[in-house]
Amino acid sequence: MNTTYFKSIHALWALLIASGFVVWLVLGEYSMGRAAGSDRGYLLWSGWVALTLFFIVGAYSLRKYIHKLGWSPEFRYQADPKAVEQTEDAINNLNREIAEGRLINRSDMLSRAKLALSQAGTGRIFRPELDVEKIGEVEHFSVYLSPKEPLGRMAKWMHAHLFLGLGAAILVLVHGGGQMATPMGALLNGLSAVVILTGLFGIVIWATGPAKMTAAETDLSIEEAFVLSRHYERKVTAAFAELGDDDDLVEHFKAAADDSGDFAKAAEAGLSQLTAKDPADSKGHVLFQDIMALIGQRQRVNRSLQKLMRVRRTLNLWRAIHVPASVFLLGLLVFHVFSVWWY
Amino acid sequence: MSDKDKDLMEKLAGIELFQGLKPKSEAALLEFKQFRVCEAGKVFVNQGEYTSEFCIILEGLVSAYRSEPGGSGVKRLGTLKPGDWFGEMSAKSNQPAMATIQADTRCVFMAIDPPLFKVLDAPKSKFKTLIDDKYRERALSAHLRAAPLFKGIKEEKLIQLQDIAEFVSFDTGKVIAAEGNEADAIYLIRSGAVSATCKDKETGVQRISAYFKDNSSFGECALSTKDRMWKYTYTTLGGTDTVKIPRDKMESIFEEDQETLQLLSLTADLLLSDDEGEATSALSALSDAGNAGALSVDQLEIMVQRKSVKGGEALVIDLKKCTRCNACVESCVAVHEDRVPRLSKSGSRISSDMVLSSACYNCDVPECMSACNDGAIRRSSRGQIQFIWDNCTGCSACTLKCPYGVIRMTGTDSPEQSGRWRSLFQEIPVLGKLFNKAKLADVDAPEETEEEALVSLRTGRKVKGKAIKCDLCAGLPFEACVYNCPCGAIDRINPEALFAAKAASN
Ligand code: SF4
Ligand code: SF4
Ligand code: SF4
Repeated sequence: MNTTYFKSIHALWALLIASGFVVWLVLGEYSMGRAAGSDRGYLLWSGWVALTLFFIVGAYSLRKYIHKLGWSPEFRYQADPKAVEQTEDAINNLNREIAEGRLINRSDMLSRAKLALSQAGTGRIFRPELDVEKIGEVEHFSVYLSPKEPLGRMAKWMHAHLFLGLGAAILVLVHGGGQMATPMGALLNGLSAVVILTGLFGIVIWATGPAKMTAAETDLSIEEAFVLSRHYERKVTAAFAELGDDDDLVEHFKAAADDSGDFAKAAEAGLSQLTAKDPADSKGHVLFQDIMALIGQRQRVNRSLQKLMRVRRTLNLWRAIHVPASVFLLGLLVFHVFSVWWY
Repeated sequence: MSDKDKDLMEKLAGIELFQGLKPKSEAALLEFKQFRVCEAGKVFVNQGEYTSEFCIILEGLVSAYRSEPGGSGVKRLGTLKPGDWFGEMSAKSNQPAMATIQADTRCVFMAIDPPLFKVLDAPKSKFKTLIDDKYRERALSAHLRAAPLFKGIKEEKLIQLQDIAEFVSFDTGKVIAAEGNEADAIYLIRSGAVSATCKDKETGVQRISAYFKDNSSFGECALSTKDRMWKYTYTTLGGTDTVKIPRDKMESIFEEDQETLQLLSLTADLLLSDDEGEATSALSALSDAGNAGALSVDQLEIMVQRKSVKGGEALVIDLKKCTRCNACVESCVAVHEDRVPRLSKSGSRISSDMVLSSACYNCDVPECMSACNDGAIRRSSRGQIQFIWDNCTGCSACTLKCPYGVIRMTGTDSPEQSGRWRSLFQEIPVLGKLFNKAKLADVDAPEETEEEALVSLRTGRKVKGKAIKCDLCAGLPFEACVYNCPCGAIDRINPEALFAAKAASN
């Protein structure tokens, strides 16, 4: 199981925010939602914070897609390879000065490295860091470059998505009180419930799914099964093309090639038809057996692929509910904010 | 021959290295040599920096410096003058520069890249003999000193050993010594990698017992007082250069000096006293370098079979975390203009839950680079292996040599960034499938570009494709695949460190 999802600083943030609002609600003795006794300030704050959290949560998906499309703002950080080389040369020279004892102060080393980066125009992509190696009692320094990773790793964003999403769910509850009396309230609360429940299910399947998939990959990995399946698909298609225009026979092959059909029965029927037609056609028999072997192999690979894809299919199904519901919810939330403002 | 070439040849005739060059080597030299200028006071190359050029000083003076390990400061090795050279090990086996070279006056160097060096460094040529002699003079003593067997012997004895050392090179897969035969020499590895295997007594199967990389040595049993047989079969894992010190020659030079001979035999016995014998000495040498921990035989086997021992850093996928979402591959596509991924998630399983994905390792011993005769692969000063698009003639030699099969051939043009909208639509749950099929048939055969036409003209071959591999997202402040994995499942790790960590956690 991937337990890293449960160890995150964002969990702490989410907990702080959510418990803050719950404590405020209890201490203020307010009612949840727009019931009598509810406080306007509390409603406004919990609403705005929930909306902000939802937008942060949505930013994860947005970032994922814009990167995939090559539109990520980080792509503008790409440096010219010549500038990178110039930086590397400068850092090598700097390290030599350090090794020769001409530069002994740590902050001087780092500021010289920063200067080299800004001169080469690579300060946006690299951060200079100091490596300290202790030999005996003596410390030896060298400067190295580490990439800046401007927006932070996606895995971190994923943690924010998970925990801030859960935090937002609690805020939605204290803000709206789960009331279903109006159509808007029912829609908002119902959708929130769908998004949150699918989100919780998502955490479970993301944490446990990979291990299950790996356990199922006894003979082939998913990637290998995909490649093999495509390979046999092409081979079977090419073999069909070789069969010519014997429609009856092609029908039998098609029946055998249908993964849901009974392969053995269709193969037997095709073979007896071939024998009945011309018992001495040895070339035809060989071709038939070759194609049948191919179809059989393809079926085997496709069956393992189906098995291997079980968890992925669940993930796809989960995504097919969670993503559209979340997009719809965000739209409705914006509408809700405007409508509240308007009236 | 042009007047300029004639002038150059006249100048080179005064340099012993170039005397007696064969006409083929001379023609290659005239065609592919390059010149470099370095102003007075400037550093031309830093110690430890990866450079692949062999340089001959044509004009000016340079000083060579080396900082010694252990922090004993920087030592001035001497002054090099016109006719002298440096960088032979870098050109020969991609090793980082052994010394810092600084110009004392304005200098002009003739630079020779690895493919040209390979032509000039032909077996039995005067060029090769002189290069080897220089290695003997400049680096062999340090190399001998690093071998555990010679640690205790006196400086003057080491000098005697230098004189009897032979330089022997082996191709990939060659057996240097076979189990059960008489051990007749000590081998030091100058560059490359060697595996040691022995027959499993029960199953009869060859099992990996150890591996050896640059600066390690084997053959202590040749001097042992007990059994002087090879306990293992030593096979090269790639092109390997060795220094061979034959036992009979060693015995004859120390004939008068039984004390040294006894010391060597005692050290050899001591090194072999452990049950694991030489395997232990190889592994402990690696542990000293901070590379390996306590490796199990199985892990060692996988590493050697997969030749990971030659690799630098590999992209490793943790299958306990990977949801097979493909974001890593898609990110790689997104950062490359040609929209071709440089990584594949499938690779070899190193344990039940770890996969070494198929992306370049930036090997310590890059076989792709030694296979390329067109100067299209080089090492950056940070040690990364870079493919130079314009120089690639599409000969595929590198793809055949790369032990990990991570190089792929692609079309010669960089297609427009098409299909972005299609990728967006592919993301729509369920309906996305409708946008999955790329219409390959719609893509016209690309026209030859001006550069490709030039390469075709020069090599007589038409450029049909270009070799590509993971470029570590050159120039970007992140490695897109690692950066964009939502599960934190993929990371770049040194396989040896990975095995060490796993061994420690078991
Ligand atoms: S992005 Fe990460 S989780 Fe997705 S396939 Fe790649 S390694 Fe696996
Ligand atoms: S392409 Fe292959 S041989 Fe070359 S550095 Fe990468 S992994 Fe090593
Ligand atoms: S480091 Fe960059 S180029 Fe290499 S595989 Fe990852 S994304 Fe592709």
